[in-house]
Amino acid sequence: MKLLEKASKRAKSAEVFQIESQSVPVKFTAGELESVKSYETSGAALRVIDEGQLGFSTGTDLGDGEEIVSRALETAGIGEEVQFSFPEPQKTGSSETFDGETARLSPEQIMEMGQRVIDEITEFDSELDVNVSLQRSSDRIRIANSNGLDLSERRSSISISVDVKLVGTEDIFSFYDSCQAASLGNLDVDGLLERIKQRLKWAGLRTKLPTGRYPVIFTPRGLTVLLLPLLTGFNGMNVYQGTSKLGDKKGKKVADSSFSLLDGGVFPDSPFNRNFDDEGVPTSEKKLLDEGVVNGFLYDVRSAYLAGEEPTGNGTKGGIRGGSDFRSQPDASPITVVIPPGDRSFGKIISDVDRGLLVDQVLGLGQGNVLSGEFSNNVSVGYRIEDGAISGRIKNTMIAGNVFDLLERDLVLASESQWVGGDLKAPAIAVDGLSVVQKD
Amino acid sequence: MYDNIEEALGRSEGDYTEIRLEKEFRDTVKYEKEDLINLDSSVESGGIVRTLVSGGWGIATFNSTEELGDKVDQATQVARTASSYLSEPVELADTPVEEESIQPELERDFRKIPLEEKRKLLESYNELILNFDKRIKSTKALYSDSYRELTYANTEGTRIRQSVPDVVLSLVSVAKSDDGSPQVAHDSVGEATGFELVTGREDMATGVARRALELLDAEPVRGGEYTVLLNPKLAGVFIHEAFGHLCEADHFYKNDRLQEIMEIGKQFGPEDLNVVDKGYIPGRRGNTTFDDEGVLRQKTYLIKDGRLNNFLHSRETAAKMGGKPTGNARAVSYRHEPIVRMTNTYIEGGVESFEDLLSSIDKGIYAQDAYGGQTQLEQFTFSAGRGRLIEDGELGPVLKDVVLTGNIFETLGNIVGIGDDLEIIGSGGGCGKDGQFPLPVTTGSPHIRIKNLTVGGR
Ligand SMILES: [Zn+2]
Repeated sequence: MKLLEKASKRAKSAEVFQIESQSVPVKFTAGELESVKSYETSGAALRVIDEGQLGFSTGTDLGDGEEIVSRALETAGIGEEVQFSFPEPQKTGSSETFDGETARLSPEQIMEMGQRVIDEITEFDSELDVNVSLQRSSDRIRIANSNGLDLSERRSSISISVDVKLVGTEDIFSFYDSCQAASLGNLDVDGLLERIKQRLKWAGLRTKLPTGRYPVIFTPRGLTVLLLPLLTGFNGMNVYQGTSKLGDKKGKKVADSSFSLLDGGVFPDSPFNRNFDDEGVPTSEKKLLDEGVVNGFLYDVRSAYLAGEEPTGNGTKGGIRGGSDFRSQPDASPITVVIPPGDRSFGKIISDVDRGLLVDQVLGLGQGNVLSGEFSNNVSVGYRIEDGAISGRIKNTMIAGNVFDLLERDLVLASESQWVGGDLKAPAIAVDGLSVVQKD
Repeated sequence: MYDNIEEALGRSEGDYTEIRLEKEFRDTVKYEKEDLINLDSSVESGGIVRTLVSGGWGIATFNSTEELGDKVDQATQVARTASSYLSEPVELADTPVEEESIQPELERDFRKIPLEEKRKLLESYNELILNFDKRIKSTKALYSDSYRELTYANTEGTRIRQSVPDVVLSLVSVAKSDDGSPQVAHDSVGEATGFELVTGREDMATGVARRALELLDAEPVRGGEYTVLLNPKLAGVFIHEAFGHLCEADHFYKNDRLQEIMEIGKQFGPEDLNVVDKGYIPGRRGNTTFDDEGVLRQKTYLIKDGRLNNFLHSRETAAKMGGKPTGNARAVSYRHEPIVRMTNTYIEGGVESFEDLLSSIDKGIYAQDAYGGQTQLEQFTFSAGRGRLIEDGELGPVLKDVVLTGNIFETLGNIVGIGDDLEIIGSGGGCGKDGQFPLPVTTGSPHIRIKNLTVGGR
């Protein structure tokens, strides 16, 4: 790789991250085609360590590479003194991450998929306002460093996200759902449509839940309310900085023993497999929580060094969703999170509740003091459970609690699991005694 | 650079074609705790072509601008495919042809400030926070600047070059007592100005340290309904998130029922409520002298004398709804097509002093600053950075985890008091919509008092 050679001549060690993306996003607004797009990105990031100091620069039109190398060296000249080095070559997995047919899907084929989704939903209820975004994409990623590491991977994906609005005279009901897969054959469009129709059926009747404490069931999508604060506790940088609530709890029980939490880059039916992270470290599967006991944390190369641990294959460029944004420096973040299911069916869990709440979607996710585990959300899609059955949709309802307190209580995990977006597989989970505030 | 563009536009077979090219220079410095976590000096360039063929949009984005003509062909091809699917062709409202070149005048051009000076400045703020108290466990300190050179041209003859500066300082402190929960406080400034914006911000650094410590001893708020006094920062975010987004015509230009709800002239708030989106206020982050369709900025009253007055439009939504383009079609970068966005959005100042607003509240909450907010049509939720209990018109103990929620139409109607202390605030971060984030905007408001607002809590 020319850029790596050029940088290595002038800095003691260097690392190049390169991505070429091609995608076709198709957008339908209010049931009608809005736009079709052809999207190409080609960019690179260069990290250098020179005289023990770290430098970084990114670029798109690299030309002979002179500018990006000079800028990276300039930042290294005044950069952080670091002791870590770029990863050595290691054996990575060889799971399939690319499907040629998916990567070649034509705009027409994608438009037809979108039209089918719209038709099925509006057939169910013609009053609905449906926005659909579809995207097929293929990325080619290459990571090479002066230690001899040189990895590349092609990744394909197809995704559909749907936004449904039911506008009444007094009230608007609106929700969101999506599905994603690395290959078209695995795209669960039927499951997506099924969930959308289920929500609409349940939403038929408006009802209220008086302010109080209730058992609350989080759907797999609703579970992000709890997972967002929980996962900050496993972030290696937060552990090192002393701001993680779980940092000193390794080996200790912090959650009900029915609850385990896994992270990794490759799972059997995952929509988003990747054999290595954005620093070239293999994405091993690991247990973060093993039957409620803290088992380990997530580290990229830098946070691992600072904390005196090993990198776990969680160095991602560009935050909590997806990563691989060449513009960002890598930091520690989950790749794909899996919560193993329980043994009671979702239907049975609901039928066991006398009076409670089913939470599917909320507003205000990730706002507030996430580090402390506090959450307080307006439930945008939620249903009252009465005498073991869904009795209608609630509104103007807030839930509030602390994740770390809640997880210590008795949890009931459903036996069915579901992928949420591309990076979470989870069952519905029931917790007891959550505070619910209903505005009259 | 226009030569290249003229040639490519000349090749266009579309009914309308536009090309936008961008080159961005940016420096970033980031500290976390004692560590310099990012030091980045980068250049990025790319472009986008958007073309209308038989009323269907085709869009191509790219990094290499060498073969611009090919990109026009590419966009044309996808537009043809799209147009075969359309039930109703897209039309564009008329707008004057513009020819303009705009270069900002910066007091201290951050492109000429050595990166080392930026690093040292941020390091000094970071140390101020870290050394403030031993209970301060961590920090996040961010400096970033960006200088975007934009070139815009369309087949109607509009040719615009404009350069957009943006500079941000954002400081976060995390405090933790021995066995307590971590508490977070943050503050930020961001404007379309020079480096002078971020110097002399020692008070901001000590401020975030002090506030995180205060939160350690704060009581969690009790959930319920209260009269809430919002400070300008929170009220500004509130009006942007909860109401401004609703006025973006692309949310409802194809939905008759939503248009009934958003009927011009409808009474939404008290007579003295005025809400404005203004495309240019000297030095402000939200400034959009020409939007990304080449439409000149405007001052648009969204609410005038309590009544819904106008929407924010792109050329497409204006044509569809019989309105006029308002200069609000903005794209966060060359990777995206313009969509309807806000610029500098604020509630105009009223007549009541802060003391008057406060003294008439028997029991309520003073909610200050914003962690963030989210809205879904008429539902909104906001996290205040912190709060104070109000009892008998006096400020009481500090509260934490203050989250406000409600229905925007009800809440606007429940505004009972507009202060005389309008502040327009540029902060770090930005606005997000349809995957386009972070778009620089400013928000503003005086203190406002709202009755019967739901506050989440346990
Ligand atoms: Zn916004």
